[in-house]
Amino acid sequence: MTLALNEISPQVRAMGSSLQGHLARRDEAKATILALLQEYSTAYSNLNDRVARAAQVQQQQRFDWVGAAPTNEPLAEAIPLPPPCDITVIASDGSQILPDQHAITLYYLINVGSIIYQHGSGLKPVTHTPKPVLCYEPDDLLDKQGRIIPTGEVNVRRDLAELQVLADLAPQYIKPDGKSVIALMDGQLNLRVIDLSYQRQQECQRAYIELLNQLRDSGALITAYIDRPRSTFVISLMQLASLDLKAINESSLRHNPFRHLTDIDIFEFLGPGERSAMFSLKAKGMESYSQARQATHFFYLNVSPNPTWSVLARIEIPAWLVAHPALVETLHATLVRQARLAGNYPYVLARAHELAIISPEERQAVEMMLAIEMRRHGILPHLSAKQSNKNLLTGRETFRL
Amino acid sequence: MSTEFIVGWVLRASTVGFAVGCRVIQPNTPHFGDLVKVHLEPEAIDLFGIIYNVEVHDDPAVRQLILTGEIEPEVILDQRQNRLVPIELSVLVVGYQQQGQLVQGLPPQPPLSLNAIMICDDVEIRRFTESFDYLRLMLNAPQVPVDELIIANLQRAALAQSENQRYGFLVGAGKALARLLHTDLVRLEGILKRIKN
Repeated sequence: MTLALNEISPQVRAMGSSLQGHLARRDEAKATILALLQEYSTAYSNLNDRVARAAQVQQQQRFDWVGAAPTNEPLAEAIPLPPPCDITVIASDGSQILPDQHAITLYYLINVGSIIYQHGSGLKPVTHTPKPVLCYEPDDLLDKQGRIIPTGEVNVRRDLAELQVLADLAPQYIKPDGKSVIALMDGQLNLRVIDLSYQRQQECQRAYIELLNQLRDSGALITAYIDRPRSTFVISLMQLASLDLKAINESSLRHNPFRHLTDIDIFEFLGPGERSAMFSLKAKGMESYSQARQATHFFYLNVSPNPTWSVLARIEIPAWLVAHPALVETLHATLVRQARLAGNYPYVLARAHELAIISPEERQAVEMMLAIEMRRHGILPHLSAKQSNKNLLTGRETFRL
Repeated sequence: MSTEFIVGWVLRASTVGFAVGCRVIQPNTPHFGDLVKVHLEPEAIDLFGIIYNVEVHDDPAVRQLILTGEIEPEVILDQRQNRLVPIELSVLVVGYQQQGQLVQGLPPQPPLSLNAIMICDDVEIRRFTESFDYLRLMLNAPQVPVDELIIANLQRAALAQSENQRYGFLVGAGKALARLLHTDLVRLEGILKRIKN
Protein backbone atom coordinates (compact mmCIF):
# COMPACT_ATOMS: atom_id res chain seq x y z
CA MET A 1 0.00 0.00 0.00
CA THR A 2 1.58 3.30 -1.07
CA LEU A 3 -1.31 5.64 -0.35
CA ALA A 4 -0.23 7.83 2.57
CA LEU A 5 -3.37 7.54 4.68
CA ASN A 6 -1.81 9.64 7.43
CA GLU A 7 -1.56 12.52 4.92
CA ILE A 8 -5.19 12.12 3.93
CA SER A 9 -6.54 11.99 7.44
CA PRO A 10 -6.40 15.77 8.14
CA GLN A 11 -7.88 16.42 4.68
CA VAL A 12 -10.77 14.10 5.50
CA ARG A 13 -11.43 16.07 8.68
CA ALA A 14 -11.39 19.31 6.67
CA MET A 15 -13.79 17.74 4.20
CA GLY A 16 -16.21 16.90 7.00
CA SER A 17 -16.25 20.54 8.15
CA SER A 18 -16.69 21.73 4.58
CA LEU A 19 -19.65 19.39 4.04
CA GLN A 20 -21.28 20.84 7.14
CA GLY A 21 -20.79 24.34 5.70
CA HIS A 22 -22.34 23.30 2.39
CA LEU A 23 -25.40 22.01 4.22
CA ALA A 24 -26.13 25.44 5.64
CA ARG A 25 -25.77 27.07 2.19
CA ARG A 26 -27.85 24.31 0.65
CA ASP A 27 -30.70 24.83 3.12
CA GLU A 28 -30.78 28.53 2.42
CA ALA A 29 -30.87 28.05 -1.36
CA LYS A 30 -33.45 25.29 -1.00
CA ALA A 31 -35.80 27.56 0.95
CA THR A 32 -35.60 30.14 -1.85
CA ILE A 33 -36.25 27.54 -4.55
CA LEU A 34 -39.20 26.01 -2.68
CA ALA A 35 -40.75 29.45 -2.29
CA LEU A 36 -40.35 30.01 -6.05
CA LEU A 37 -41.85 26.58 -6.75
CA GLN A 38 -44.93 27.54 -4.72
CA GLU A 39 -45.18 30.99 -6.27
CA TYR A 40 -44.90 29.73 -9.85
CA SER A 41 -46.68 26.42 -9.26
CA THR A 42 -49.39 27.13 -11.84
CA ALA A 43 -47.79 30.06 -13.69
CA TYR A 44 -47.30 27.87 -16.76
CA SER A 45 -47.47 30.59 -19.38
CA ASN A 46 -45.14 32.90 -17.45
CA LEU A 47 -42.60 30.10 -17.08
CA ASN A 48 -42.95 28.99 -20.68
CA ASP A 49 -42.17 32.55 -21.82
CA ARG A 50 -38.97 32.40 -19.82
CA VAL A 51 -38.05 28.98 -21.19
CA ALA A 52 -38.62 30.32 -24.72
CA ARG A 53 -36.37 33.28 -23.90
CA ALA A 54 -33.63 30.94 -22.61
CA ALA A 55 -33.94 28.92 -25.82
CA GLN A 56 -33.55 32.10 -27.83
CA VAL A 57 -30.45 33.06 -25.87
CA GLN A 58 -28.83 29.74 -26.46
CA GLN A 59 -29.71 29.92 -30.14
CA GLN A 60 -28.13 33.37 -30.51
CA GLN A 61 -25.12 32.76 -28.33
CA ARG A 62 -24.45 29.12 -29.24
CA PHE A 63 -24.82 28.44 -25.57
CA ASP A 64 -26.31 25.21 -24.16
CA TRP A 65 -29.14 25.72 -21.72
CA VAL A 66 -30.67 22.55 -20.37
CA GLY A 67 -33.73 22.77 -18.20
CA ALA A 68 -37.33 21.84 -17.59
CA ALA A 69 -40.58 23.33 -18.80
CA PRO A 70 -43.90 22.89 -17.01
CA THR A 71 -46.69 20.74 -18.44
CA ASN A 72 -50.19 21.05 -17.05
CA GLU A 73 -49.53 19.81 -13.51
CA PRO A 74 -48.92 22.21 -10.60
CA LEU A 75 -45.18 22.28 -9.96
CA ALA A 76 -45.43 22.13 -6.18
CA GLU A 77 -47.89 19.26 -6.16
CA ALA A 78 -47.13 15.83 -4.74
CA ILE A 79 -49.13 13.23 -6.63
CA PRO A 80 -50.08 10.30 -4.38
CA LEU A 81 -49.30 6.66 -5.09
CA PRO A 82 -52.07 5.05 -7.18
CA PRO A 83 -53.29 1.56 -6.25
CA PRO A 84 -51.17 -1.30 -7.63
CA CYS A 85 -52.16 -3.11 -10.79
CA ASP A 86 -50.95 -6.34 -12.36
CA ILE A 87 -48.94 -5.60 -15.46
CA THR A 88 -45.95 -7.11 -17.23
CA VAL A 89 -42.62 -5.31 -16.89
CA ILE A 90 -39.75 -5.99 -19.26
CA ALA A 91 -36.34 -4.60 -18.42
CA SER A 92 -33.07 -4.71 -20.27
CA ASP A 93 -29.55 -3.67 -19.43
CA GLY A 94 -26.23 -4.03 -21.14
CA SER A 95 -22.53 -4.16 -20.44
CA GLN A 96 -19.44 -4.12 -22.56
CA ILE A 97 -15.75 -4.82 -22.83
CA LEU A 98 -14.26 -1.71 -24.40
CA PRO A 99 -11.51 -1.81 -27.01
CA ASP A 100 -8.17 -1.67 -25.24
CA GLN A 101 -4.95 -0.94 -27.09
CA HIS A 102 -3.00 -2.67 -24.30
CA ALA A 103 -4.94 -5.95 -24.56
CA ILE A 104 -3.75 -8.96 -26.60
CA THR A 105 -5.79 -7.78 -29.56
CA LEU A 106 -8.30 -5.07 -30.41
CA TYR A 107 -11.91 -6.06 -29.97
CA TYR A 108 -15.02 -5.09 -28.08
CA LEU A 109 -17.92 -7.08 -26.78
CA ILE A 110 -21.51 -6.18 -25.96
CA ASN A 111 -23.73 -8.27 -23.73
CA VAL A 112 -27.40 -7.56 -23.00
CA GLY A 113 -29.57 -9.13 -20.33
CA SER A 114 -33.32 -8.82 -19.98
CA ILE A 115 -36.12 -10.14 -17.82
CA ILE A 116 -39.88 -10.31 -18.18
CA TYR A 117 -41.77 -10.07 -14.89
CA GLN A 118 -45.54 -10.62 -15.00
CA HIS A 119 -47.01 -9.13 -11.84
CA GLY A 120 -49.76 -11.18 -10.26
CA SER A 121 -49.30 -14.11 -12.67
CA GLY A 122 -47.67 -16.51 -10.24
CA LEU A 123 -45.35 -17.37 -13.13
CA LYS A 124 -41.60 -17.61 -13.01
CA PRO A 125 -40.10 -14.47 -14.60
CA VAL A 126 -38.56 -15.19 -17.98
CA THR A 127 -34.94 -14.28 -18.51
CA HIS A 128 -33.62 -13.55 -21.96
CA THR A 129 -29.99 -13.06 -22.90
CA PRO A 130 -29.44 -12.50 -26.60
CA LYS A 131 -26.22 -13.77 -28.14
CA PRO A 132 -23.31 -11.56 -27.01
CA VAL A 133 -21.76 -9.64 -29.89
CA LEU A 134 -18.00 -9.76 -30.37
CA CYS A 135 -16.74 -7.04 -32.73
CA TYR A 136 -13.26 -7.42 -34.18
CA GLU A 137 -13.23 -6.23 -37.81
CA PRO A 138 -11.20 -3.07 -38.50
CA ASP A 139 -14.37 -1.29 -39.65
CA ASP A 140 -15.92 -2.00 -36.23
CA LEU A 141 -12.90 -0.79 -34.31
CA LEU A 142 -11.38 2.10 -36.22
CA ASP A 143 -12.76 5.37 -37.51
CA LYS A 144 -12.03 6.61 -41.01
CA GLN A 145 -8.72 8.12 -39.89
CA GLY A 146 -7.63 4.82 -38.35
CA ARG A 147 -8.14 5.88 -34.72
CA ILE A 148 -9.73 3.52 -32.24
CA ILE A 149 -13.43 4.35 -31.96
CA PRO A 150 -14.36 6.42 -28.91
CA THR A 151 -15.91 4.83 -25.83
CA GLY A 152 -19.09 6.71 -26.67
CA GLU A 153 -19.46 4.73 -29.90
CA VAL A 154 -19.48 1.41 -28.02
CA ASN A 155 -21.87 2.84 -25.46
CA VAL A 156 -24.24 3.95 -28.23
CA ARG A 157 -24.15 0.48 -29.80
CA ARG A 158 -24.86 -1.05 -26.40
CA ASP A 159 -27.79 1.35 -25.83
CA LEU A 160 -29.19 0.45 -29.24
CA ALA A 161 -28.83 -3.26 -28.43
CA GLU A 162 -30.66 -2.77 -25.10
CA LEU A 163 -33.53 -0.98 -26.80
CA GLN A 164 -33.63 -3.53 -29.62
CA VAL A 165 -34.23 -6.29 -27.06
CA LEU A 166 -37.15 -4.35 -25.56
CA ALA A 167 -38.59 -3.73 -29.03
CA ASP A 168 -38.29 -7.44 -29.86
CA LEU A 169 -39.79 -8.72 -26.62
CA ALA A 170 -42.56 -6.23 -25.84
CA PRO A 171 -44.98 -7.25 -28.64
CA GLN A 172 -44.79 -10.88 -27.46
CA TYR A 173 -46.19 -9.92 -24.06
CA ILE A 174 -48.94 -7.51 -24.99
CA LYS A 175 -52.12 -9.26 -23.85
CA PRO A 176 -54.90 -10.00 -26.37
CA ASP A 177 -57.16 -7.71 -24.32
CA GLY A 178 -54.74 -4.89 -25.18
CA LYS A 179 -53.27 -4.71 -21.68
CA SER A 180 -49.95 -3.04 -22.08
CA VAL A 181 -46.45 -3.83 -20.86
CA ILE A 182 -43.86 -1.54 -19.36
CA ALA A 183 -40.52 -1.56 -21.19
CA LEU A 184 -38.00 -0.34 -18.65
CA MET A 185 -34.47 0.80 -19.27
CA ASP A 186 -31.73 1.99 -16.98
CA GLY A 187 -30.52 5.55 -17.61
CA GLN A 188 -31.87 8.37 -19.70
CA LEU A 189 -34.51 7.97 -22.40
CA ASN A 190 -32.70 9.76 -25.21
CA LEU A 191 -29.56 8.37 -26.76
CA ARG A 192 -26.35 9.95 -25.54
CA VAL A 193 -24.44 10.67 -28.75
CA ILE A 194 -22.28 13.59 -27.69
CA ASP A 195 -18.94 11.85 -28.37
CA LEU A 196 -19.82 10.99 -31.97
CA SER A 197 -19.40 12.86 -35.25
CA TYR A 198 -22.45 14.83 -36.40
CA GLN A 199 -23.21 12.35 -39.18
CA ARG A 200 -22.91 9.39 -36.84
CA GLN A 201 -25.11 11.16 -34.27
CA GLN A 202 -27.82 11.54 -36.89
CA GLU A 203 -27.57 7.89 -37.99
CA CYS A 204 -27.71 6.54 -34.45
CA GLN A 205 -30.53 8.83 -33.38
CA ARG A 206 -32.58 7.80 -36.38
CA ALA A 207 -32.12 4.12 -35.54
CA TYR A 208 -32.91 4.76 -31.88
CA ILE A 209 -36.05 6.78 -32.56
CA GLU A 210 -37.19 4.07 -34.97
CA LEU A 211 -36.97 1.55 -32.11
CA LEU A 212 -38.83 3.94 -29.78
CA ASN A 213 -41.53 4.23 -32.45
CA GLN A 214 -41.74 0.44 -32.73
CA LEU A 215 -42.26 0.21 -28.98
CA ARG A 216 -44.91 2.92 -29.04
CA ASP A 217 -46.72 1.27 -31.94
CA SER A 218 -46.69 -2.09 -30.15
CA GLY A 219 -48.36 -0.43 -27.14
CA ALA A 220 -45.39 -0.76 -24.78
CA LEU A 221 -44.91 1.96 -22.18
CA ILE A 222 -41.25 2.83 -22.66
CA THR A 223 -39.77 4.22 -19.47
CA ALA A 224 -36.28 5.18 -18.37
CA TYR A 225 -35.26 5.04 -14.72
CA ILE A 226 -32.44 7.18 -13.33
CA ASP A 227 -31.51 6.40 -9.76
CA ARG A 228 -30.10 9.19 -7.58
CA PRO A 229 -30.02 11.71 -10.43
CA ARG A 230 -27.82 14.77 -10.22
CA SER A 231 -29.90 16.65 -12.75
CA THR A 232 -30.73 20.32 -12.21
CA PHE A 233 -33.48 20.76 -14.82
CA VAL A 234 -36.09 22.08 -12.38
CA ILE A 235 -33.45 24.17 -10.60
CA SER A 236 -32.70 25.78 -13.96
CA LEU A 237 -36.40 26.47 -14.47
CA MET A 238 -36.61 28.08 -11.03
CA GLN A 239 -33.57 30.16 -11.82
CA LEU A 240 -35.49 31.50 -14.81
CA ALA A 241 -38.43 32.18 -12.49
CA SER A 242 -36.14 34.22 -10.25
CA LEU A 243 -35.06 36.45 -13.15
CA ASP A 244 -36.88 39.21 -14.96
CA LEU A 245 -37.66 38.17 -18.51
CA LYS A 246 -35.29 40.82 -19.85
CA ALA A 247 -32.55 39.72 -17.47
CA ILE A 248 -32.40 36.28 -19.05
CA ASN A 249 -29.21 36.39 -21.05
CA GLU A 250 -26.06 34.38 -21.52
CA SER A 251 -24.38 35.92 -18.51
CA SER A 252 -27.28 35.25 -16.11
CA LEU A 253 -27.77 31.73 -17.45
CA ARG A 254 -24.10 30.93 -17.07
CA HIS A 255 -24.11 31.88 -13.36
CA ASN A 256 -26.62 29.80 -11.50
CA PRO A 257 -26.87 30.95 -7.86
CA PHE A 258 -28.49 27.62 -6.98
CA ARG A 259 -25.66 25.47 -8.32
CA HIS A 260 -25.18 23.83 -4.91
CA LEU A 261 -28.56 22.16 -5.31
CA THR A 262 -29.83 19.35 -7.48
CA ASP A 263 -33.46 18.65 -8.34
CA ILE A 264 -33.74 15.89 -5.77
CA ASP A 265 -32.98 18.42 -3.04
CA ILE A 266 -36.18 20.22 -4.03
CA PHE A 267 -38.33 17.13 -4.19
CA GLU A 268 -37.41 15.78 -0.80
CA PHE A 269 -40.91 16.94 0.18
CA LEU A 270 -42.42 13.99 -1.73
CA GLY A 271 -43.85 11.41 0.66
CA PRO A 272 -43.50 7.63 0.29
CA GLY A 273 -44.63 6.58 -3.19
CA GLU A 274 -45.49 10.13 -4.28
CA ARG A 275 -44.37 11.64 -7.55
CA SER A 276 -43.71 15.19 -8.62
CA ALA A 277 -45.43 17.08 -11.38
CA MET A 278 -44.58 16.14 -14.94
CA PHE A 279 -42.02 18.32 -16.73
CA SER A 280 -40.73 18.38 -20.25
CA LEU A 281 -37.01 18.40 -20.88
CA LYS A 282 -35.64 21.33 -22.84
CA ALA A 283 -32.26 20.87 -24.46
CA LYS A 284 -30.55 21.26 -27.78
CA GLY A 285 -30.66 18.38 -30.23
CA MET A 286 -34.10 17.07 -29.21
CA GLU A 287 -35.91 18.14 -32.39
CA SER A 288 -35.99 14.70 -34.00
CA TYR A 289 -37.43 13.23 -30.79
CA SER A 290 -40.10 15.95 -30.68
CA GLN A 291 -41.08 15.34 -34.29
CA ALA A 292 -41.67 11.66 -33.48
CA ARG A 293 -43.67 12.53 -30.30
CA GLN A 294 -40.81 10.97 -28.34
CA ALA A 295 -39.56 14.14 -26.62
CA THR A 296 -38.41 13.40 -23.11
CA HIS A 297 -40.74 14.23 -20.22
CA PHE A 298 -39.94 13.41 -16.66
CA PHE A 299 -41.06 13.38 -13.07
CA TYR A 300 -39.36 12.63 -9.79
CA LEU A 301 -40.55 9.65 -7.79
CA ASN A 302 -39.98 8.80 -4.14
CA VAL A 303 -39.85 5.00 -4.14
CA SER A 304 -39.05 4.70 -0.44
CA PRO A 305 -41.66 3.24 1.92
CA ASN A 306 -40.00 5.11 4.80
CA PRO A 307 -41.56 8.51 5.65
CA THR A 308 -38.30 9.74 7.17
CA TRP A 309 -35.97 8.72 4.35
CA SER A 310 -36.78 9.53 0.73
CA VAL A 311 -35.20 7.72 -2.21
CA LEU A 312 -35.74 9.73 -5.36
CA ALA A 313 -35.45 8.61 -8.94
CA ARG A 314 -36.04 10.54 -12.14
CA ILE A 315 -38.48 8.79 -14.44
CA GLU A 316 -38.35 9.70 -18.11
CA ILE A 317 -41.15 8.93 -20.54
CA PRO A 318 -41.89 10.06 -24.10
CA ALA A 319 -44.35 12.82 -24.96
CA TRP A 320 -46.97 10.47 -26.44
CA LEU A 321 -47.25 8.64 -23.12
CA VAL A 322 -47.75 11.85 -21.14
CA ALA A 323 -50.99 12.31 -23.04
CA HIS A 324 -52.44 9.19 -21.33
CA PRO A 325 -52.85 9.97 -17.61
CA ALA A 326 -54.20 6.47 -16.83
CA LEU A 327 -51.06 4.90 -18.27
CA VAL A 328 -48.87 7.30 -16.29
CA GLU A 329 -50.75 6.19 -13.16
CA THR A 330 -50.09 2.53 -14.02
CA LEU A 331 -46.44 3.34 -14.53
CA HIS A 332 -46.22 5.27 -11.27
CA ALA A 333 -47.79 2.46 -9.23
CA THR A 334 -45.73 -0.27 -10.90
CA LEU A 335 -42.37 1.45 -10.53
CA VAL A 336 -42.94 1.91 -6.81
CA ARG A 337 -44.05 -1.72 -6.50
CA GLN A 338 -40.96 -2.89 -8.38
CA ALA A 339 -38.61 -0.71 -6.35
CA ARG A 340 -40.03 -1.96 -3.08
CA LEU A 341 -39.35 -5.54 -4.05
CA ALA A 342 -35.61 -5.02 -4.20
CA GLY A 343 -34.80 -2.28 -1.70
CA ASN A 344 -35.66 1.02 -3.40
CA TYR A 345 -34.55 0.06 -6.91
CA PRO A 346 -36.66 -1.80 -9.52
CA TYR A 347 -36.21 -5.53 -9.12
CA VAL A 348 -36.24 -6.08 -12.88
CA LEU A 349 -33.47 -3.57 -13.47
CA ALA A 350 -31.32 -5.16 -10.80
CA ARG A 351 -31.85 -8.58 -12.38
CA ALA A 352 -31.29 -7.33 -15.95
CA HIS A 353 -28.01 -5.84 -14.77
CA GLU A 354 -27.07 -9.11 -13.13
CA LEU A 355 -27.78 -10.94 -16.40
CA ALA A 356 -25.82 -8.46 -18.50
CA ILE A 357 -22.77 -7.77 -16.41
CA ILE A 358 -19.45 -9.13 -17.66
CA SER A 359 -17.42 -10.08 -14.59
CA PRO A 360 -13.61 -9.76 -14.53
CA GLU A 361 -13.43 -13.58 -14.54
CA GLU A 362 -15.65 -13.76 -17.64
CA ARG A 363 -13.54 -11.13 -19.36
CA GLN A 364 -10.45 -13.14 -18.53
CA ALA A 365 -12.12 -16.26 -19.97
CA VAL A 366 -12.95 -14.41 -23.20
CA GLU A 367 -9.37 -13.22 -23.52
CA MET A 368 -8.07 -16.71 -22.84
CA MET A 369 -10.26 -18.03 -25.67
CA LEU A 370 -8.99 -15.27 -27.94
CA ALA A 371 -5.39 -16.06 -27.02
CA ILE A 372 -5.84 -19.74 -27.83
CA GLU A 373 -7.47 -18.91 -31.16
CA MET A 374 -4.68 -16.49 -32.04
CA ARG A 375 -2.08 -19.17 -31.25
CA ARG A 376 -3.97 -21.62 -33.43
CA HIS A 377 -3.51 -19.21 -36.33
CA GLY A 378 0.15 -18.60 -35.63
CA ILE A 379 -0.35 -15.19 -34.05
CA LEU A 380 1.46 -14.47 -30.82
CA PRO A 381 -0.92 -12.99 -28.24
CA HIS A 382 0.81 -10.51 -26.01
CA LEU A 383 -0.21 -7.67 -23.80
CA SER A 384 1.47 -4.29 -24.08
CA ALA A 385 4.57 -3.86 -21.92
CA LYS A 386 2.62 -1.35 -19.85
CA GLN A 387 -0.23 -3.77 -19.17
CA SER A 388 2.14 -6.66 -18.44
CA ASN A 389 3.96 -4.59 -15.87
CA LYS A 390 0.74 -3.36 -14.33
CA ASN A 391 -0.47 -6.95 -14.01
CA LEU A 392 2.77 -8.04 -12.42
CA LEU A 393 2.81 -5.18 -9.97
CA THR A 394 -0.82 -5.58 -8.99
CA GLY A 395 -0.55 -9.35 -8.64
CA ARG A 396 -2.81 -10.24 -11.56
CA GLU A 397 -1.96 -13.21 -13.67
CA THR A 398 -0.85 -12.80 -17.26
CA PHE A 399 -1.37 -15.27 -20.06
CA ARG A 400 0.99 -18.17 -19.76
CA LEU A 401 0.43 -19.77 -23.12
CA MET B 1 -37.89 -47.00 -10.52
CA SER B 2 -35.22 -45.20 -12.53
CA THR B 3 -34.01 -42.04 -10.86
CA GLU B 4 -30.78 -41.59 -12.81
CA PHE B 5 -30.37 -37.93 -13.53
CA ILE B 6 -27.63 -35.37 -13.06
CA VAL B 7 -27.98 -33.57 -9.76
CA GLY B 8 -24.87 -31.43 -10.00
CA TRP B 9 -21.23 -31.23 -10.95
CA VAL B 10 -18.05 -31.70 -8.96
CA LEU B 11 -16.63 -28.46 -7.60
CA ARG B 12 -13.62 -29.89 -5.75
CA ALA B 13 -12.61 -33.37 -4.76
CA SER B 14 -10.24 -35.58 -2.85
CA THR B 15 -10.02 -39.36 -2.55
CA VAL B 16 -12.23 -39.39 0.54
CA GLY B 17 -14.92 -36.99 -0.57
CA PHE B 18 -16.04 -34.28 -2.90
CA ALA B 19 -18.20 -31.18 -3.09
CA VAL B 20 -20.93 -30.83 -5.70
CA GLY B 21 -22.45 -27.62 -7.00
CA CYS B 22 -26.06 -27.65 -8.10
CA ARG B 23 -28.51 -25.02 -9.23
CA VAL B 24 -31.40 -25.47 -6.88
CA ILE B 25 -32.95 -27.88 -4.41
CA GLN B 26 -35.77 -29.61 -6.30
CA PRO B 27 -38.22 -32.01 -4.68
CA ASN B 28 -36.48 -34.90 -6.43
CA THR B 29 -32.88 -33.84 -5.85
CA PRO B 30 -30.94 -36.04 -3.43
CA HIS B 31 -31.32 -35.82 0.29
CA PHE B 32 -28.99 -36.23 3.23
CA GLY B 33 -27.95 -39.89 3.32
CA ASP B 34 -28.67 -40.68 -0.35
CA LEU B 35 -26.26 -42.77 -2.43
CA VAL B 36 -24.87 -40.97 -5.49
CA LYS B 37 -22.36 -41.93 -8.15
CA VAL B 38 -19.87 -40.32 -10.53
CA HIS B 39 -18.68 -42.00 -13.67
CA LEU B 40 -15.01 -41.43 -14.49
CA GLU B 41 -13.80 -41.69 -18.07
CA PRO B 42 -11.60 -43.06 -19.55
CA GLU B 43 -10.84 -45.22 -16.50
CA ALA B 44 -14.41 -46.56 -16.58
CA ILE B 45 -14.73 -46.28 -12.81
CA ASP B 46 -17.99 -45.53 -11.01
CA LEU B 47 -17.41 -43.82 -7.67
CA PHE B 48 -20.10 -44.15 -5.00
CA GLY B 49 -20.66 -41.65 -2.24
CA ILE B 50 -23.19 -40.62 0.38
CA ILE B 51 -24.42 -37.06 0.73
CA TYR B 52 -23.63 -35.86 4.25
CA ASN B 53 -24.32 -32.14 3.95
CA VAL B 54 -26.46 -29.81 1.87
CA GLU B 55 -25.51 -26.19 2.19
CA VAL B 56 -27.19 -23.09 0.77
CA HIS B 57 -24.55 -20.40 0.60
CA ASP B 58 -24.96 -16.80 1.50
CA ASP B 59 -26.25 -14.53 -1.28
CA PRO B 60 -26.30 -10.76 -0.69
CA ALA B 61 -29.17 -10.30 -3.16
CA VAL B 62 -31.36 -12.68 -1.18
CA ARG B 63 -30.49 -10.88 2.06
CA GLN B 64 -31.62 -7.64 0.46
CA LEU B 65 -34.93 -9.20 -0.60
CA ILE B 66 -35.52 -10.50 2.91
CA LEU B 67 -34.91 -7.04 4.35
CA THR B 68 -37.53 -5.44 2.09
CA GLY B 69 -40.17 -7.80 3.45
CA GLU B 70 -42.29 -7.55 0.28
CA ILE B 71 -41.52 -10.82 -1.47
CA GLU B 72 -43.88 -11.67 -4.32
CA PRO B 73 -44.28 -15.29 -5.51
CA GLU B 74 -42.74 -14.31 -8.86
CA VAL B 75 -39.60 -13.13 -7.06
CA ILE B 76 -39.28 -16.43 -5.21
CA LEU B 77 -39.62 -18.36 -8.48
CA ASP B 78 -37.07 -16.11 -10.15
CA GLN B 79 -34.58 -16.49 -7.32
CA ARG B 80 -34.99 -20.25 -7.05
CA GLN B 81 -35.23 -21.21 -10.70
CA ASN B 82 -33.48 -18.54 -12.74
CA ARG B 83 -30.62 -17.39 -10.55
CA LEU B 84 -27.60 -19.49 -9.81
CA VAL B 85 -28.44 -20.17 -6.19
CA PRO B 86 -25.18 -21.43 -4.73
CA ILE B 87 -26.12 -24.81 -3.33
CA GLU B 88 -23.35 -27.19 -2.39
CA LEU B 89 -23.66 -30.89 -1.55
CA SER B 90 -20.86 -32.63 0.36
CA VAL B 91 -20.32 -36.29 -0.47
CA LEU B 92 -18.40 -38.92 1.45
CA VAL B 93 -16.80 -41.51 -0.84
CA VAL B 94 -17.72 -45.06 0.25
CA GLY B 95 -16.82 -47.26 -2.71
CA TYR B 96 -16.23 -47.72 -6.39
CA GLN B 97 -16.85 -50.14 -9.20
CA GLN B 98 -14.24 -51.06 -11.78
CA GLN B 99 -14.53 -53.76 -14.45
CA GLY B 100 -17.75 -54.97 -12.87
CA GLN B 101 -16.19 -55.45 -9.44
CA LEU B 102 -17.70 -53.46 -6.58
CA VAL B 103 -15.33 -52.40 -3.81
CA GLN B 104 -16.43 -50.78 -0.55
CA GLY B 105 -13.34 -48.70 0.12
CA LEU B 106 -11.50 -45.66 -1.20
CA PRO B 107 -11.06 -45.39 -4.98
CA PRO B 108 -7.71 -45.15 -6.78
CA GLN B 109 -8.41 -41.56 -7.78
CA PRO B 110 -10.93 -38.82 -7.04
CA PRO B 111 -13.35 -37.33 -9.58
CA LEU B 112 -12.37 -34.21 -11.50
CA SER B 113 -14.08 -30.85 -11.47
CA LEU B 114 -17.26 -30.78 -13.54
CA ASN B 115 -17.75 -34.56 -13.45
CA ALA B 116 -21.51 -35.10 -13.32
CA ILE B 117 -23.10 -36.55 -10.18
CA MET B 118 -26.06 -38.87 -10.54
CA ILE B 119 -28.40 -40.24 -7.92
CA CYS B 120 -28.35 -44.05 -7.68
CA ASP B 121 -31.50 -45.93 -8.52
CA ASP B 122 -32.98 -48.72 -6.40
CA VAL B 123 -31.14 -51.46 -8.30
CA GLU B 124 -27.80 -49.78 -7.67
CA ILE B 125 -28.66 -49.15 -4.02
CA ARG B 126 -29.59 -52.83 -3.51
CA ARG B 127 -26.42 -53.96 -5.23
CA PHE B 128 -24.20 -51.58 -3.25
CA THR B 129 -25.76 -52.49 0.11
CA GLU B 130 -25.35 -56.24 -0.36
CA SER B 131 -22.34 -55.70 1.89
CA PHE B 132 -22.07 -53.33 4.86
CA ASP B 133 -18.30 -52.80 4.79
CA TYR B 134 -18.90 -49.19 3.81
CA LEU B 135 -20.29 -48.52 7.29
CA ARG B 136 -16.73 -48.74 8.64
CA LEU B 137 -15.65 -45.93 6.30
CA MET B 138 -18.57 -43.85 7.50
CA LEU B 139 -17.83 -44.47 11.17
CA ASN B 140 -14.23 -43.32 10.62
CA ALA B 141 -15.13 -40.18 8.68
CA PRO B 142 -14.05 -36.98 10.43
CA GLN B 143 -16.30 -33.91 10.64
CA VAL B 144 -19.36 -35.80 9.45
CA PRO B 145 -22.55 -36.31 11.50
CA VAL B 146 -21.89 -40.04 11.30
CA ASP B 147 -24.72 -41.50 13.37
CA GLU B 148 -27.40 -39.42 11.69
CA LEU B 149 -25.86 -40.19 8.31
CA ILE B 150 -25.89 -43.95 8.91
CA ILE B 151 -29.52 -43.81 10.04
CA ALA B 152 -30.62 -41.78 7.02
CA ASN B 153 -28.65 -43.95 4.61
CA LEU B 154 -29.94 -47.25 5.95
CA GLN B 155 -33.53 -46.02 6.03
CA ARG B 156 -33.23 -44.92 2.39
CA ALA B 157 -31.53 -48.21 1.43
CA ALA B 158 -34.29 -50.19 3.19
CA LEU B 159 -36.88 -48.43 1.03
CA ALA B 160 -35.05 -49.71 -2.06
CA GLN B 161 -35.64 -53.30 -0.89
CA SER B 162 -38.83 -55.16 -1.63
CA GLU B 163 -41.25 -55.03 1.28
CA ASN B 164 -40.68 -58.63 2.39
CA GLN B 165 -36.91 -58.15 2.41
CA ARG B 166 -36.83 -54.81 4.20
CA TYR B 167 -36.80 -56.21 7.76
CA GLY B 168 -34.08 -58.74 6.95
CA PHE B 169 -32.01 -55.97 5.38
CA LEU B 170 -32.21 -53.82 8.52
CA VAL B 171 -31.36 -56.79 10.76
CA GLY B 172 -28.27 -57.45 8.62
CA ALA B 173 -27.27 -53.80 8.88
CA GLY B 174 -27.82 -53.88 12.65
CA LYS B 175 -25.55 -56.91 13.00
CA ALA B 176 -22.83 -55.19 10.98
CA LEU B 177 -23.09 -52.12 13.20
CA ALA B 178 -22.98 -54.27 16.32
CA ARG B 179 -19.63 -55.70 15.19
CA LEU B 180 -18.23 -52.24 14.44
CA LEU B 181 -19.55 -50.55 17.60
CA HIS B 182 -19.15 -53.37 20.13
CA THR B 183 -17.05 -51.05 22.32
CA ASP B 184 -19.68 -48.29 22.33
CA LEU B 185 -22.99 -49.90 23.23
CA VAL B 186 -24.76 -46.65 24.09
CA ARG B 187 -24.06 -45.27 20.65
CA LEU B 188 -25.02 -48.57 19.00
CA GLU B 189 -28.33 -48.62 20.86
CA GLY B 190 -29.09 -45.07 19.74
CA ILE B 191 -28.54 -45.92 16.08
CA LEU B 192 -30.44 -49.24 16.21
CA LYS B 193 -33.47 -47.64 17.86
CA ARG B 194 -33.67 -45.04 15.11
CA ILE B 195 -33.20 -47.54 12.26
CA LYS B 196 -36.03 -49.67 13.62
CA ASN B 197 -38.38 -46.70 13.47
